[in-house]
Amino acid sequence: MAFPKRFRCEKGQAFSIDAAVAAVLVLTLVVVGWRGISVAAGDASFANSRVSLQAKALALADFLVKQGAVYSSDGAYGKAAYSHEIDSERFSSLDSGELARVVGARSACVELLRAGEAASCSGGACVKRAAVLHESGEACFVEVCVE
Amino acid sequence: MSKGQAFSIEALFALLAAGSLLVVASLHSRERSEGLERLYEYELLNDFLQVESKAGLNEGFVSSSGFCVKLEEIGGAGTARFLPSSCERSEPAGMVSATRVICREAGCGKFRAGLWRD
Repeated sequence: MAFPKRFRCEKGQAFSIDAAVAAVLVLTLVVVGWRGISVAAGDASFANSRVSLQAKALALADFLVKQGAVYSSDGAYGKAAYSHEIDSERFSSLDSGELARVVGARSACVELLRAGEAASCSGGACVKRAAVLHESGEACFVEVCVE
Repeated sequence: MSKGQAFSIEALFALLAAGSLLVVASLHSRERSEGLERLYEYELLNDFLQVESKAGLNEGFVSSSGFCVKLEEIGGAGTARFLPSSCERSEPAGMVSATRVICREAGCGKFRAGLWRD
């Protein structure tokens, strides 16, 4: 019984087959890698914009409870702002368009909430800060949403 | 094994290694970034301490925030106060804390406060 001859390819054939296999593998790597990088870049971009919107909402809320909407009075050294004591009249006169412009957002919504009241503001990022009403000493929340 | 077979197997291993790297990198990039949640929680805790010093915190007010607050006077004889009281049984996972001197009618005291999501 004659055994089949072992296949021995010539030098050129071996290199060509190897190069063909390598080319297929490299192409697969490139396609899979390209798709993976695109997805990762998209996720990173979304996360960045979400954090940026959050930062704007936080900055605006911080401004309102410490300065923008608080009770202030004239003191010996100038105007004194009472941090976390909300002046309802001053709060009502806030221009949400101007507030949005200052923090670099497309739109802003701000509202004063007593305990248990549901918020009506909505947006891409919302924060709720605690404060007291200067007139009544009642605890309240300042809700800020930005888009 | 011929040279060509050896090269092909080596290329296959390299592809597997590269593919694993890509999968791991892709999974890692999908992890949610924490963002500014911790900063917000720290600011809210300080808000609650301000409210406590100006008007006093109550259960209803804190519970409507969706957070738990623990107030404890440092060096005081009293026990810790939980707001709302149901938070005494909840696990303070990811708690942020701060200390503050709070003055009320009865006098001033140094308080340690903690805040976590209910």
